[in-house]
Amino acid sequence: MEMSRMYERAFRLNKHEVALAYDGESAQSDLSTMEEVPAAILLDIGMPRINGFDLLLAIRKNPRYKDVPIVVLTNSFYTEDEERFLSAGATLYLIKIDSQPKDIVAKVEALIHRSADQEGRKVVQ
Amino acid sequence: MSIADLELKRLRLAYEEERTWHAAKDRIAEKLLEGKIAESNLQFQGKLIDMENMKQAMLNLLEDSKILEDKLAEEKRSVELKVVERTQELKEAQARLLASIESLSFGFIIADVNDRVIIKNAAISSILELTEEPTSVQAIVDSFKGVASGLDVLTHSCRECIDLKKVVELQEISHGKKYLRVFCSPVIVKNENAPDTEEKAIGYVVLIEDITEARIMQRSRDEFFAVASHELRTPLTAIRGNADMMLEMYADKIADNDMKEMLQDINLSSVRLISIVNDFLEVSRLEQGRFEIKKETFNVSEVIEKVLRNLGAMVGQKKLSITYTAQTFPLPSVYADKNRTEQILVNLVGNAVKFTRDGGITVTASIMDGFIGIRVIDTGAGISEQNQALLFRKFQPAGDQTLARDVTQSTGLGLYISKLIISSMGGAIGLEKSEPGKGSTFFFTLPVSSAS
Repeated sequence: MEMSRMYERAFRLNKHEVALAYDGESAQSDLSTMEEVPAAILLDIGMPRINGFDLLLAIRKNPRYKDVPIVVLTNSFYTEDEERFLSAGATLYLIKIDSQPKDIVAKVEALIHRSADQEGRKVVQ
Repeated sequence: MSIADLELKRLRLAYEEERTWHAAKDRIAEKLLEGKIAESNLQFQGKLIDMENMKQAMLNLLEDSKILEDKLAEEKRSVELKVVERTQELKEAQARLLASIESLSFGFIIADVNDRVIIKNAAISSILELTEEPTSVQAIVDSFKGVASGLDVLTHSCRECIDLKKVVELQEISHGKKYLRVFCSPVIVKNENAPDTEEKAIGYVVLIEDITEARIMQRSRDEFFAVASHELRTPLTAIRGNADMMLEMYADKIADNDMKEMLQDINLSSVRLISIVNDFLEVSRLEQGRFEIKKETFNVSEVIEKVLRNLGAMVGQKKLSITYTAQTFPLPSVYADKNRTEQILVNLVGNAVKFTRDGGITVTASIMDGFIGIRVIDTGAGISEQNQALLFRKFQPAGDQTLARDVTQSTGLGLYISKLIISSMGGAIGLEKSEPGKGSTFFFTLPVSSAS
């Protein structure tokens, strides 16, 4: 909770609009009813109900979201995970404890600029 | 009659005479021994026989044969003695062997080719919780009919080990609530009399190890690791992230100096705690051998230059010269894990910066017999001889304790981690020399890539 709040705040303070979901299942249903395609998606690995990996696969399957940058955030210590997520379609894999909120915002902004989509919406969690 | 015939006849007569002479001599000798001939001299076909002489010769002969008989008897006795000795030795060897088998924590069975149990120990019954004495491996397997047990493959594995004459290992078999590791190993005998014939399997050994405890231990270590990485790091991330954001984005609102300092302290403490947690997790992963080394061919000069470039923050207010020299340009590429190499360099160069107040840090790279040797030379505090021996151990800071306490804050795991990493990359790491007050030289080596 406090994690999502922190990242939500970091993006909000940097003038981004953020939609939050606290578990994989609600993230999936939120995405399916969302009118606009978000500029980027931040995804935690360890979510209740549907875990981050399965959600990533599900999002990438949807043609609507196939080009949206997806940033995976984790505190997992298993380096094997990085490759697994990147090959499953994640754009960036970040260790939360090694990245400050402002750095994450900067990296996501760079990705949004690169994908030339300036809508400024994010789904966090 | 020809001359040849005459000669032949003469030879025949001579032969006959010789034989009769010998026969007569033997007969006379017999009589003599029986005491039937008293005379000391006898005439036979014109030859004088020295009876005394003959008698002596016969007695000598008898004497010789008696000695031989005695010798034979003695030989027989010693053979019998040896047999007794060897039997005892064999019995002792067997007793030792059986005691060893009995004391094994593994379950142990030796069976013959017909699957009959010849030797077994008590552990087999306790591990498998057998209620009856096992007579055959098949009987053991049969006794678990209807129980969820992976042991039903055992008969097949034993057959396979005999037929292929090789060890068959079953890594992890579930057996009720237990986990077992099973080895089937053939007992092979070579025919000594016919060395060319094929070796024969005369039976097999079954070893059963109860690995339930080890598995539970491993699982709890893994769980601890997962819990530690998530549950410990996540709140720390929130503490550090929020403190960092407050200092960054609300600098103007934090007018009170004390409050600002308090926030800075929270931030610094969280940074320190994070590095401790990370080091502990790293050690735990390295010690368990559960980490990946991604080897690739790369130019180590680039990694060194990158590490030295990023050093600015560490050097801070100190005025230190930092230089890098390579023996040759370009250096041959190395074959190692690039990120891990960077990690080791950050550790060594970071230590050098920590412990050096004046002067500088020099990094050198040179070719040394299939390896690239990298030295990190500082003009820092140096390490006393007694502490030199303790370096690279767990919880041992890179410098002297007394200095470390006020100059740095360290978990004492950096060099230990570097050592674990470097040995898994096929290199070496160590302290080349150090003198208190003058500085230290640390080195590590990386294998040269065969591609270069």
